[in-house]
Amino acid sequence: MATVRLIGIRKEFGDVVAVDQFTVDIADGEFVSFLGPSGCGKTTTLRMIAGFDMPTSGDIVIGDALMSSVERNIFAAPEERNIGMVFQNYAVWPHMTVFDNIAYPLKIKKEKRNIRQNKVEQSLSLVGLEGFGERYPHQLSGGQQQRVALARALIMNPEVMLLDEPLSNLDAKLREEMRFEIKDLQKKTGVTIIYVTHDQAEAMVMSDRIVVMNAGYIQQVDSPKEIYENPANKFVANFIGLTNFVECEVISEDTVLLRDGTGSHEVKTTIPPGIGGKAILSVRPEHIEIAAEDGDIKGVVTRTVYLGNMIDYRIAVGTVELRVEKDAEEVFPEGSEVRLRFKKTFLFSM
Amino acid sequence: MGVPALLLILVVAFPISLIFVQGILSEEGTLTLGFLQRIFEVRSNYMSLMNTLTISLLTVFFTVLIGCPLAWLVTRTDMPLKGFFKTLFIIPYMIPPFIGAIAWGFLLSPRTGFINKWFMGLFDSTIPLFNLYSYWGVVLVMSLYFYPYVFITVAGALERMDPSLEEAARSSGSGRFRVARDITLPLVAPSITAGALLVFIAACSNFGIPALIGTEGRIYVLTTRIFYYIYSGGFEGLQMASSLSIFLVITSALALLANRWYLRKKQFTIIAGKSMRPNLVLLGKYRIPFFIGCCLFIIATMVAPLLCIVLISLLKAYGVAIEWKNFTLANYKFILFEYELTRASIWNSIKLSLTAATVLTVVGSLIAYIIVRTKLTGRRILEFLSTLPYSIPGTVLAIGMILAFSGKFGINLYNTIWILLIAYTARYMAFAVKSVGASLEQVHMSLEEAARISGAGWTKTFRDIVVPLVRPGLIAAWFLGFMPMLRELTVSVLLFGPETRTIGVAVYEFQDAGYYDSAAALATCVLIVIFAGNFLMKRITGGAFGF
Repeated sequence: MATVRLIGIRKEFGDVVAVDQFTVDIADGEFVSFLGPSGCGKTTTLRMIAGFDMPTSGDIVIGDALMSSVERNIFAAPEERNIGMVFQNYAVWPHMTVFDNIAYPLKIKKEKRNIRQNKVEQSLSLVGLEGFGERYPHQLSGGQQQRVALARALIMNPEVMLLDEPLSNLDAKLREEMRFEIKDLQKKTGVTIIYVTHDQAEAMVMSDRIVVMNAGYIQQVDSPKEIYENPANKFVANFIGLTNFVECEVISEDTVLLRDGTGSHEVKTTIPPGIGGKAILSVRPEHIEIAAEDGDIKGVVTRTVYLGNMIDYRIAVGTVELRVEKDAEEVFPEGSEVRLRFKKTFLFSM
Repeated sequence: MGVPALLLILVVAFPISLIFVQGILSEEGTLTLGFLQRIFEVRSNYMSLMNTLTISLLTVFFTVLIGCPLAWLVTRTDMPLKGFFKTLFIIPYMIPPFIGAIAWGFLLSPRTGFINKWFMGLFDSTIPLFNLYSYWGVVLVMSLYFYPYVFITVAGALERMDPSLEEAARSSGSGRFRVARDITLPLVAPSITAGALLVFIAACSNFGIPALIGTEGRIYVLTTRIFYYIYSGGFEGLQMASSLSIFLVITSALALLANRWYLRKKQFTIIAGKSMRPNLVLLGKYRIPFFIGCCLFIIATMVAPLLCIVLISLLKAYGVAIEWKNFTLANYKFILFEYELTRASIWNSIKLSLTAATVLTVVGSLIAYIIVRTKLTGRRILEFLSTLPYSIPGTVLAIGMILAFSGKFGINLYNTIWILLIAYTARYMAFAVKSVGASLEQVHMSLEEAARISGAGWTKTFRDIVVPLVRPGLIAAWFLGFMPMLRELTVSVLLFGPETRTIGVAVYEFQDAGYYDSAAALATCVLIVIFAGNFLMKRITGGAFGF
């Protein structure tokens, strides 16, 4: 198993900069997700690690080996990197049986027939496909094909596994199941995993650390908990979970003034260094307390949606609309006047 | 259902089955295996069968050899201008093979061909560089006009193939060439054989090339042999022609079955759903050499022969020196305004093509609708019958028409324009059914259902919803029929009468009789109409059809 170090990676496609200033150190055996909206550069980065795309500048180091360095004119071909890869559309070869698909990397390594046989049997049982060896891919379901792809990527004992949105073609229930299976496989094998996804729930459940990306740049690299609880910027706060953004003005070292069109409210918050004047206050729906009388800010319930375990409110505070989530014990009907208190807020620059 | 079915039975099933009946019946009406005897006892018949087989197989070999590398170059490398080349490599597909044969005759005929004359002058030799009027001459010209079948199918497969299939193999540790051998080639193989099959059938059924090149060198194939027997006339000739036709059908049917058998286990799709970034091979220092190679190929195989036809059409007489004072438009004036025979044949072809294209668009659309949209029993038979006349050689269809409509069964259309009209419509029906069917499949059923819910009846729905939505398919159907009919030769040459010559027949007769300048002028007109028609079709259908 190996560490992966990406140092100052930049990738241009013609005039378009797909990825820039990408620097991340991934530890041995770590599970790291690249998370971001489509077109943010996450797949491009993955393909550069795999060796399918060449960085415009920057270095890629896997374990002790420098795999790609523009400055030193080094570029290892994909087949020289000992990386396992699982593709979004599985990429299971339709003209080979399940057995032949999984055995292919061993065949390339010229492993003896009986060793191949044993290893394939083992990995078939590892991914729960015992007895499927002689089938052809078109006889398998999507989930089974994805297992074949996983087994094929794992059989060569790769130092690193790259997974490119491997679950996005599966249905919701299977997707949830496969999350845990992939996590289990990693625990059993100890392989370093880099996982590309646009699904925040997927990244949250599986990752040790998440690299949040947008428009080619890294926004934040942290554990799922840190990213949710301490988003580094407006983009991360908005992309991970739900949040309300309200324009405000910094008036002292721990207070902002919130104007709602009809009046203004003072809110205590931590003001990060470098922010002054106009700013954006971010408050998550579950961090707003709602009560009939007790609170600083007055509002009117405009819509309630019953979600079973909780109620999703829209509350008008002047011209500002806030989204609030609260358990279903006490219900505030539409049109009723309520009072709000912010339990936890973040301040970002405009 | 009833009307198109009856129509197809009358003009397709009945004539074609007559060929088999004719082949196994003696003059007295008893059952025999005479057709076998007639082939194997007459040496020249047997030779023509063998020539058909070997020439077609060699053509398949060379077209695969040409088509696959070209397809790879334009889809998978960083060669300059590859999009432009992709269009250019398809051009031979649009050029009628018999016009190609004429063009190559101008270049490589043993005594008067430009290249041979130049070669013999250069080395003061009396032996030509290459005698086109030979076995290999037929193979050469066929290969150059049929390789687009392989090129189109293979390029399509390489373009649609999911690149991650190859990337997965790279990640598994195999190098570029190993990936080509283990993954790419096996996945493209079905497309190669599909292209090869089309070439084989096209080569077996072709009449123009062996008639204009082979006959001169006494090389006969089944189609030219059948032509010979029809011209020799009488019951005997017709019987011989029918017997040879049976072999022609069997040959192409066997090829079809062989391909089915090969594909039986390969029921896989390699088409990816998402947008793709194909893995381009960087040619590096070979980039420019490959580019130059492609340019030379285009110049040698397309520019030179076509230029040659245009040049000769503009000369005062065939064989005079190429100088400004020898250029003239007299040939065009002659064929278009002066010579009654060509004027009549142009008029005939236009009349026939306009009428037949319109008929087949209407009937073909109905058949396509029945096949795609209904669950009527027998619609598969309808599909089979509508595509059959194009899957069998044109020569065979023509023999069927002669047998069915020359008076023996109460209808005598022989030597009239009607027999040509029926034959043309039947022959190109498949195009209309396919293109309208493809457009119909794009139109989701719910669009029609929405019209029904809104209160429109079946006919109103058909007129207001279906027809506008499949318009590109309808236009394509018309053009795809009209353009090949305008210059049709294989069927016409067996069915035309004194009053019903067509353009194809006129070009063929000019060339056969040695009026090369008139042949060239008429052929140039045909080429202009074809290219203009293709351009027009592409514009009207918004690029959905045409090249």
